[in-house]
Amino acid sequence: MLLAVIEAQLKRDVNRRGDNREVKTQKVALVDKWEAPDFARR
Amino acid sequence: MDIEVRTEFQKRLHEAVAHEAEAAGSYHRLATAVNLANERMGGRTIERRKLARIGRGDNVPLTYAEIEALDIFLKPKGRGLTTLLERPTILRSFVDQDRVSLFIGAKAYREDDPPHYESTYVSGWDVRSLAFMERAIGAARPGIRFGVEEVFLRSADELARMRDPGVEIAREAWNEIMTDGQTSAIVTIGTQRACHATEVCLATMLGVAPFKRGADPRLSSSPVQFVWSCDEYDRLPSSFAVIGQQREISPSERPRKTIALKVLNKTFEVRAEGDLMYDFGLIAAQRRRTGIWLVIAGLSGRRPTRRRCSWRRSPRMFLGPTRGGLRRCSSR
Repeated sequence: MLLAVIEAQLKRDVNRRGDNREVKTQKVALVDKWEAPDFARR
Repeated sequence: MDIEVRTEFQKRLHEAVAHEAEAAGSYHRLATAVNLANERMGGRTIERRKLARIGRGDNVPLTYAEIEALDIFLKPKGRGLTTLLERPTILRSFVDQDRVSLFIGAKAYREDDPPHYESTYVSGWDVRSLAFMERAIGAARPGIRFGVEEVFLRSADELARMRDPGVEIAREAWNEIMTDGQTSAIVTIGTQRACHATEVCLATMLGVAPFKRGADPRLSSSPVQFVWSCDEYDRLPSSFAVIGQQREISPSERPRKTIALKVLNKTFEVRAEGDLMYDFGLIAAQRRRTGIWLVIAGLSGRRPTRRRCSWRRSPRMFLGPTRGGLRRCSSR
């Protein structure tokens, strides 16, 4: 399972419009495997 | 001395063939399966020993017919050569999917609406995410079919009356799509506070029961934890929620319902510093037997825009790659 956390830094008074925002990926982690345990059972 | 350089494509093909051989039991059985898959497609074949060499990671010469034979076999398993040749990203992995079902949280019309005005409320941010996903996946795989499912949010009273929310919510029409074993890909948009499908999807991916509070409301062993206020924790049962304390906030700010996100014990706290708000979102993805499952969940649940949408409570609606229900939404 792939897990990623996205960090958004928003201007407090303008996030209503979604403008002036900077978004960056903070962390990407892999828990166990990208494939589920049932993936091999086909 | 010869130095063998293995390309990314070679590594991915080796990994895919080795995985399929393990699933089949042997390279002999895998070769039989590949040849069987190609029987109705022109009868291309690939030989067992060549598959075994690919599985070992050897540099193997392949004919065009063998490449096609491998593609025909691997494509339904989500590992066609298009996927293996491209730089792997979550969205690129959708190219081998036939259908994508997108789940968004929704609310039925409010009590103060006129009786004849039956409408469905969805978050503007969720609609933006939906439009982005439709565009991005449609670009990666033109012609892919999209289905949009509204997941109606149960109120705190309704949830409190349920003996087992996991069982009762699982009876809803949208949940059948997740469990019918036919849908290629599933995308849920919105935190479990807004979209029950996110709770079910995350629980299935992590192999736990949904809507089950832990024994200790402040501790959880889950790799994904949502730190909620006490009120929110009491309102909505979730297998991924824990109670947290938020830092002191100024009188002008309203208390937050979601305080932080914990992923693998690292804490990401929703907070204000100066004129900046720091907010977070979670992306969880898994390749499953029936296709890719993807959860996109924001934390704070701010709803600065609300769109009134004319979708009726139809159980299913499939949209084309470029035209569809999204066009029918309008800002209020």
